[in-house]
Amino acid sequence: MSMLNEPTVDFHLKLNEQTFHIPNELLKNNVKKVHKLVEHESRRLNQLFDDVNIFMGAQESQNIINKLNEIIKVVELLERKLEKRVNVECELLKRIEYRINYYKELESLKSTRNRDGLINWYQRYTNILIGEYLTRNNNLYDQELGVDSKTGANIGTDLNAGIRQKRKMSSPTVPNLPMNAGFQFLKSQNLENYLDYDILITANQIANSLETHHDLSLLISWIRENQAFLESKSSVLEFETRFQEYIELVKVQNYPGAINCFQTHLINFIHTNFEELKLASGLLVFIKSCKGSMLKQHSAENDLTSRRGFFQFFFRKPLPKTFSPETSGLGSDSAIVGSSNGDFERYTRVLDDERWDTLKGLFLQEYYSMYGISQHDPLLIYLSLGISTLKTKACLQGLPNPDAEDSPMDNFLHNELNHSKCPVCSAEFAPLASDLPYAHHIQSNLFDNPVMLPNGNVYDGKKLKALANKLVSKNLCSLDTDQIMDPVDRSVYNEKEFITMYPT
Amino acid sequence: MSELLGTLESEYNKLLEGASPSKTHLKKVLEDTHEFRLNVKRLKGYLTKQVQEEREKDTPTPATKLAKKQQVAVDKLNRLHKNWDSGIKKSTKLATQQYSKFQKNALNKVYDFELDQVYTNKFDPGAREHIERAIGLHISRYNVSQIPEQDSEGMVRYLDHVYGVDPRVSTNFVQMAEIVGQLRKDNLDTCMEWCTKGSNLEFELHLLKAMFLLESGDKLATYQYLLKSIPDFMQKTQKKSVRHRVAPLLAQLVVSTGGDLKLEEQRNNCVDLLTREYCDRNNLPFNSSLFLVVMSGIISFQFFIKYKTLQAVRHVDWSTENELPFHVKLPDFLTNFHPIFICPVLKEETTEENPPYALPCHHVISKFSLDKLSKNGTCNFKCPYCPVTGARGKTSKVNFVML
Ligand SMILES: [Zn+2]
Ligand SMILES: [Zn+2]
Repeated sequence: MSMLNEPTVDFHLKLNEQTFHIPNELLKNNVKKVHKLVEHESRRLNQLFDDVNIFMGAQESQNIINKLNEIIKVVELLERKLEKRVNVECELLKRIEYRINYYKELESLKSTRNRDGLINWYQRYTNILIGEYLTRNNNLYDQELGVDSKTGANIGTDLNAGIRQKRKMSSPTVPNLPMNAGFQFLKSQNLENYLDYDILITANQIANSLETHHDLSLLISWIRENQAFLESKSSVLEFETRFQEYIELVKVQNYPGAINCFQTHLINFIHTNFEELKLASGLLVFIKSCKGSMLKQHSAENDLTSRRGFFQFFFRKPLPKTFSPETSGLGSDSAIVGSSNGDFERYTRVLDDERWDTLKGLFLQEYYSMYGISQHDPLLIYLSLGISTLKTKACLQGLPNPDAEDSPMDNFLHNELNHSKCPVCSAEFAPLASDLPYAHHIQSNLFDNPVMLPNGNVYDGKKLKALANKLVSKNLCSLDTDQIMDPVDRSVYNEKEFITMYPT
Repeated sequence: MSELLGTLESEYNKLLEGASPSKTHLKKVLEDTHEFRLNVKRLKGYLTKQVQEEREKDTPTPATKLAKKQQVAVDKLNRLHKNWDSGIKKSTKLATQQYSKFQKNALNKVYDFELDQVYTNKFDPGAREHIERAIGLHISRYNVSQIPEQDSEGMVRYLDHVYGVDPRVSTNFVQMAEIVGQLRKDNLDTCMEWCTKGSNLEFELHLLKAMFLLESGDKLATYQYLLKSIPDFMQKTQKKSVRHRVAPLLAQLVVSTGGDLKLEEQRNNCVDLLTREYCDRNNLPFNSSLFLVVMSGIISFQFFIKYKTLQAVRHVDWSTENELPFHVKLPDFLTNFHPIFICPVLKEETTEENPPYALPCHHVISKFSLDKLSKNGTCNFKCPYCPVTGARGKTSKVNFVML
C-alpha cells in the first residue's frame, strides 16, 4: 500500500488529465494557425514567382530583381511570424515537460517512501489548486480599470466592490496593482508552469467585464473567434449575447441602435429563437408606447437602467419597498398603457440585471467545455470530498475556542486536546461542513491505556499523567504527584480513581 | 514505472523530435524558410551582379547568352521555391498529425473521468467567503516569506491587498516569515536568538552553522565552532544522544573530501523545526486546515470515482445520505482528531443520540444496544463480552477524548 493511502501515479495523471489536454489543444491550435499562414503565404509567393517567370520571358532583368526583393520581404515576414509560432510551441511543450517531471518526482518519492517529500509534493499540489481558484475568481482586474462612468453608481452600492475599493485605498504603497491574484500567487511559488493560467485569465477577464462592467465587447470578439466551435454544438451564447446588446440599447433609449442590432444580428436567429425575438420587438413597442404617453412629464428620472428607474418611468411613482414580481398586484391600478400585467412581468425579467449573471454563466460553461476544463473550481471539489472524508460524528459539537482573555492554562489545555486541531471543526470550515455527509467508519479508532474518570470522560491514562506533569512544570497549576487534571472540565482527580476500560 | 507516465513521456519525446532529434516539425518549417530566404537572396545577388557587370562592360554580351545565364538562375530559383513550398506544407501536415497522435496515443489513455462528476455535494455561493478565509490562512502559514515585501507591515498589507487576507490572521505569521526569510538567506542569528535554548532547533542551527563554515573551507573555524558550541549544548541539555550527529561533520573535517554536505537538507530541517516551534509557541496549527482537507480530498478522490461509476450503473445517488457509503482510510496525521467508537453490538459508530455507555464490567457498548439488551432498563442483562450481569442503573455514559 502507498504511504499515505494516496492514489497511484496513474490515478493522479487521470485526475489531472486537463493539464496535458489543454496544452495539446493549444498546440493543435498553434499548428492550425501555421497551416493557415503557410497556405496564405504560399499562394502569394506562387503569384510572385509566376511574375518572375513572366519577366524572365520578357527579359526584364531589373523587374526580376525587383520581384525578388519583394519575395525576400514576404519570406522574411513569414519567417518572423513562424518564429513566433515556434516560440509558442516551445513554451507549450515546456509546460507538458514540467508536468511530466512533476509526476516523475511523485513516482520517485513514492518508490523511495520519502514521507516528508511526499507531503511537500502535496503541499505544492494544494498550492496549484489555490492558484487555480484565485485565477478563476480573481476580482482585482476591475480595480485596475478603476471606476468607469457606466458602473460608478453600482460600485458605490455593491458591498463587495465597496470593500475592494477600500482595500485599494488603504494600500497606496503597492506600486503596481497586480492583474490577477492567482497568477501572482503561482509566480511567487514558482508554480506558473503547472497551470494553464493564461486560459483561465482570459475567462476571468471576459467574465469580469460582463459581471462588473456590463460590457459585451470582449465576449463578442471571443464569440467571433470561436464561431465554429459554438455552432458545432448549437450554442445559444451568441443569441443571448446579441439579445443582451439589444436590451441594453433599449434601456438607454437608443432606438436606432437597437433596431440596427435587431436587423443585423438578432434577425439571424429568427428560426431558432422566434419567441424571444417576438419579445424583443415587443419590448421596443412596449417602451415606445409608454414613452409616447408620458412625453409631457419627461424628467431626468426616466432612466431605464435600474429597476427603480424603470418602475418610475412606467408608473410615475417610486418603487415600493416590498416590491417583488410574484406578489405585487400593482399592474391593476397603475397607469400602464396598452399592456397587461403579464407583459410587464416578462419585460421586467428581460430588463433585469440578473441576465448579466446568466450570460456570464453561459459564457463560462461554453469556454470551459471548449478546453475540457472542469466547470466547477477544482479546489471546491477537493474540499467537498475532503470535508466529508474527515467529518466524524463528533465534529461540530460546538466546543468553544478559548478567547484571548482566557487564562494561559485554558489556552494550553485547549491546545492539548486533539479535537482543537480538527480541520472540519476549524472556524474556516465548520460553517461549510454542516450540510455535508459524514465519513463512514468501520473500525474504532481510540487510544492506548483507556481509563475512565469519575465524570465519565475516558482518556489515554499515560497521556493524562504526562499532561499533569506538563501543567506543573509550566507552572500553570499546582497538582500533587498522584493528581491529574481533566482537560475538558478542569476537575482534579487522583490516579487511584482511574478505571481501566475495555472498549472492544 | 507507472505505465501511463511512461507512455506519456515517450509520446512527448516523439513530439519534441518530430523532424529530427531536438527539432519539431514547426521548427523545421522555420529553418527551411530561413534557408530558402538566404538562397533567394544569394541568387538575387548573383543576378544583380550580372546586370551590374553587364552595364559596366564595353561590349555587351549577346542577348541570347545573357538570357541563358539568367534562365539558369531563375530555373534554380523555381526549383528552390517548389522544394521549399512542398517541404513546408508537408512539415505542417506532419505537425498536425503528430499532435493528433499525441492525443490518441497518450492523452486518450489518460482520460478517464471528469472532475465535475464527483461534485455531488456542492457548496452554495455563501461558502466562498469561508473558503477564501481558509486560503488566506494557508497563504499566511506557508508563503508569507515568499512575498515581495520586506517589512512586516508591508507583508500584512500585501496579503490583504492581493489575496484579501485578514490582517488579524496574517499578523500571526509575519514574525515567522521574517525568521524563515533570514534563514533562507543563510543568516542564522535571528533564528538563534529566537529559538528556545536547549531545543532541537538550537542544536540543528549549530550544525548548520558548522556546515557553512566547513563549506567555506575554513576547517579551523569549523573545528573551533563545534568545540565551543556542542559540548556546551550537551552539558546544558544533558542530550548526550546528539553526539552521533556531530561525528560525521568531525569526520569530514579530518578527511579532506568534503562536498557531500547536505546543506539544503539541513536548512530545510531547521525551517521545519522553526515552523513547528513557532506554531506550537503561538498556539497555531502546524498544518493549515485547507491543506489537511485538500489532502483528504486527494486521498478519497479515487473512492468517490469508483463509487460514482458503480452508481451510474445502478442509478442511485448518495447525495441525500448523511453518511458516505464507503470507507476511506486516512493516514495518521488526518485522523486522531476525534476518537471513533464503533459499537461492537450494533457495528455502528456512536453519535450524540446514541452515545457509548460503560457497563459494570468496564466493557463499552452504545446506548441503543444497551436499551435493547435491558429492554429499556426493565430487566438485568448479561454483558455480550463477558459473564458479568448488570442493571441499567449501574451503567454510565462515557465520553472518549483524545490527547
Ligand atoms: Zn472535527
Ligand atoms: Zn463485560
